[in-house]
Amino acid sequence: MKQIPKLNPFQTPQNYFEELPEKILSKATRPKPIPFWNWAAAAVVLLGIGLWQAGGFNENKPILVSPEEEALLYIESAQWSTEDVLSLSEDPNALLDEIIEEEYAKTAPLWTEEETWF
Amino acid sequence: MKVTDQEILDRIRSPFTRELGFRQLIEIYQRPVYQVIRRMVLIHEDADDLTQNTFIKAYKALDRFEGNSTLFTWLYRIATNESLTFLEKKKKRFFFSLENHQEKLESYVDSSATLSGDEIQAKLQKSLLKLPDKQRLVFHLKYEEDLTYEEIAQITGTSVGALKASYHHAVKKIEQDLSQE
Repeated sequence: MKQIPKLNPFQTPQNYFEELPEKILSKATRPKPIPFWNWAAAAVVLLGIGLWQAGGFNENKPILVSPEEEALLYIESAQWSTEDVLSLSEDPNALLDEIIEEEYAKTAPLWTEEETWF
Repeated sequence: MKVTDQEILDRIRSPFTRELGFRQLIEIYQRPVYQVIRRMVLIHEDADDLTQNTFIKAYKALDRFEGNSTLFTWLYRIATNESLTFLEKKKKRFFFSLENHQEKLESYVDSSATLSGDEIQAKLQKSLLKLPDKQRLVFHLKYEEDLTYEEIAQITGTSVGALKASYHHAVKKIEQDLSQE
């Protein structure tokens, strides 16, 4: 064990610990924000109504696909990559986290006696 | 004068002193919680987010805290779970080909060493990054934080035997890695 040195404590920005309690308290007592998907769903509905009002869905001017279907076509035909789709979002990190949560929702709990301990 | 866990909990449970009690909890435990998270995620901005999340989760769950462990081990359990979940997410993100978080951490260690001029610290950090995350966590809690196996077992919910074996493997790997360089 003599060869292994102890790590130095990490440095933090000036006044970090003086300001941290206030930051945490303001977040902890703040009402929960509306999730991104709710905003996205509301935006799609509003867009749909807007198009309908503007006569976009008029029988004389048939539209082949909806904006959602059009986006799917771009993705499926590989014209849009994952990065392109993420770049359309205001908060790609939140979107990515939600995708990961959905994709990996059924993964094993963190604390199990498995080989990664060794 | 040292404030006890019980005094903090009593203040938090009273609607008149809840905020004061929670503020005291943060002020007492913010440094060790931040350090244990930072050792795992290395980058200050990530450690900052996770430290805040740890205390926000604690705030929301404090009414259900039964006192079967100390506030210290309970907070460490939340903090280490936050860190491991964060690292797990970063690895999964790699499959979406945005970035390789491991490489990002290694280059962070290199740039920090350039700034501080401490190559030995950088070598050790890079050796530690080669360990599986949970093994790295056990090493930090035992070697750097000097906790007992019983305390680590409470934090991780793992048996003392498994922890001893994990720590032994970690030390061997680091010694081997450092002697090779």
